[in-house]
Amino acid sequence: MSKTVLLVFSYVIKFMHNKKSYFYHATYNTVKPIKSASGSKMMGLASAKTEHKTSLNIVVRIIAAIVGGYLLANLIVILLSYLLPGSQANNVMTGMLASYPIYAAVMLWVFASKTIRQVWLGLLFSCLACAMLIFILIPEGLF
Amino acid sequence: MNDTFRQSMAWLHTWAGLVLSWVLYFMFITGTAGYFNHEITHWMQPEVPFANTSISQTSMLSMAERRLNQIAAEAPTWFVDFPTGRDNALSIWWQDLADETTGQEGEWRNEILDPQTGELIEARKTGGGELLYQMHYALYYIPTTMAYWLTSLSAMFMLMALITGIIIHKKIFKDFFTFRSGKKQRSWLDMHNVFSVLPLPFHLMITYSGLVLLMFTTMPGVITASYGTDEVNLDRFYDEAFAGSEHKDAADIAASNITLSAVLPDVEVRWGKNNINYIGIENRGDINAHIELSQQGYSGINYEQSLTYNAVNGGLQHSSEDSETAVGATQFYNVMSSLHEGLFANTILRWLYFLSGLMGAGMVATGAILWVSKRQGKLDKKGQPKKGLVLVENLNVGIIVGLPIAIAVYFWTNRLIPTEFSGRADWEVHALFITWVLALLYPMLRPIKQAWIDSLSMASLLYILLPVLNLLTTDRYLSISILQGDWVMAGFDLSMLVFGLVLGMAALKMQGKPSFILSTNKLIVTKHDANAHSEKITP
Repeated sequence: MSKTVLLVFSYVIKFMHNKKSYFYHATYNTVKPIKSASGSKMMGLASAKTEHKTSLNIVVRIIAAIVGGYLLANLIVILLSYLLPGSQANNVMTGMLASYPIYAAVMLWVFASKTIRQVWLGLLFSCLACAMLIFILIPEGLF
Repeated sequence: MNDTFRQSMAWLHTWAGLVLSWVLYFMFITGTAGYFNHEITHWMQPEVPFANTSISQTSMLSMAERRLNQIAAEAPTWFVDFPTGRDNALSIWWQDLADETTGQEGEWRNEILDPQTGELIEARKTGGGELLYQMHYALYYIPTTMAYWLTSLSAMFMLMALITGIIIHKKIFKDFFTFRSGKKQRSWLDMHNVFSVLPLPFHLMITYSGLVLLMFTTMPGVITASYGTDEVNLDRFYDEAFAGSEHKDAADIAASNITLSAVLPDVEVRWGKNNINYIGIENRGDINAHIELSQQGYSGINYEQSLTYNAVNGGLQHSSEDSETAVGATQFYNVMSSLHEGLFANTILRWLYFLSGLMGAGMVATGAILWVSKRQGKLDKKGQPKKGLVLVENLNVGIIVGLPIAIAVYFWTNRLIPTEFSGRADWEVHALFITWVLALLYPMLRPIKQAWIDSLSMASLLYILLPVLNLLTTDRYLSISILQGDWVMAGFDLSMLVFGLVLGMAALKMQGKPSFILSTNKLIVTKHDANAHSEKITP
């Protein structure tokens, strides 16, 4: 099972190696862009230095997936529980039951995204959009 | 962004997934054992005689009620648990009065009665199989809420692993029929695939339903967003969502109650004779008192076919057959929790659950082994095998084989700690975890291959000798159990023999095939060597 996650990670890494080096630049300001032509060779997995960079990238994604994903999944299902036609209790139960597949989907998206910038922007905008709709739809006198 | 910070992050990356997979392995093993919680408890309390379940429940109930009136006349709650065939205990449960100053709920107490005579049986104190079952979601030594979050996080990780695993397997069914033995890492991968794909529906079901069972702890935001944080409103949510399960709170108005036996005639009309699993009364002596029963051997996924009677006038308040009125999402939730717990399963299905659970544990274990195998031969700057990798390799042995050893010791201490020793139930569990720590440390002292062989042999010996220990310390040994027809007791002994033999076979196999197991430990292996052949690796 660690293996499957590892495989996904290794895909992410491979994918990143094909990308231009601005990717690293976007992640940490301290790392200078490397020319992509020679870069992809230089950044072989064996290089210890590169490994740290990619690991940090992955750690950022893990945090985005776990924390950001949890937040977004909650906002989506809250919105869902407001919009569904059934009784209040039924909608809340449905929301909770749906939260895990939605959480999983968000996590997948976090790891499949091209850049970290895309991940954070995507999470930010979806959360804001949901939060705004929730704010409009929130039942009166709740808080 | 200095190097140390990066290194620490790399460390986190390396460990987070692995540690969660170890938690998952623990959850799979203890949860799988939990499918036989009653059976394990039966073995762990040999003082409880083998009961003939054909004893009439009417007579058992009147004996139980007599005892409860003697010992727990003031208790607000009583329960009587009938022998079911999965266990042989007629047990009575009661809850002490709540503390009036602190408002804390009273403690639960229980006694076991002889189903034939109603006499008190002094059974040894033990956590039994129930404790193993509880550990798989509440863990041990840490606060319950924290444990729920940790186990949920692990389950979420498992769900991700399953989904991504399915995605990356283009040839999922072909892979399932492929097993290449003796090919090192390839063999581990094949084994991993077999463990994962065959019971895939089980894995998906158990992971999702496991998450759902803890959703009131881990996803409370949705409830709050509709019902607020006020406790009264939260209660309203649970009342609405679980409408039908009549659990009225005490009204603090005294009223005289009917006896438990008084409802039996009506129950017999509905369910037939001797078909009760348990019967209980809540809010005793109050106007809101009610009597609750659940049916035994009901064959359907929703195991808990139940009846609730008003304990003041004896009228039927609620039958679970009416719970089709529950909201749709709640019905789905009920099906999920029933599927997870498998309470409805008969013996054969229960074994299927058990085997699927074991395969889940195998999937996690082979995954963790693969994790090391993939990195085999990686060297640090000094040309030594990486320290972290060696540590993980060692810990893998301590987790994968160490946990079964620790559980075996839990059973051993059950027979070895004197029955009159007051802290015995606690010390059974302490022994489990102390053994586990020792099993985790042991591989550090030995070459890795030897650590696998030693640990597997130890586990094998402990399980094979359990029936012998049972023979030496009790009069409930294998041949007697078989003659009596006590298949729960005999089944436990026989299962332990089988586990022991399988573990022993694994130890032998490991002895014969040095290349089969990864090894970076305590050896200077050049990258070339490790890739070319690991035959040269000797302990």
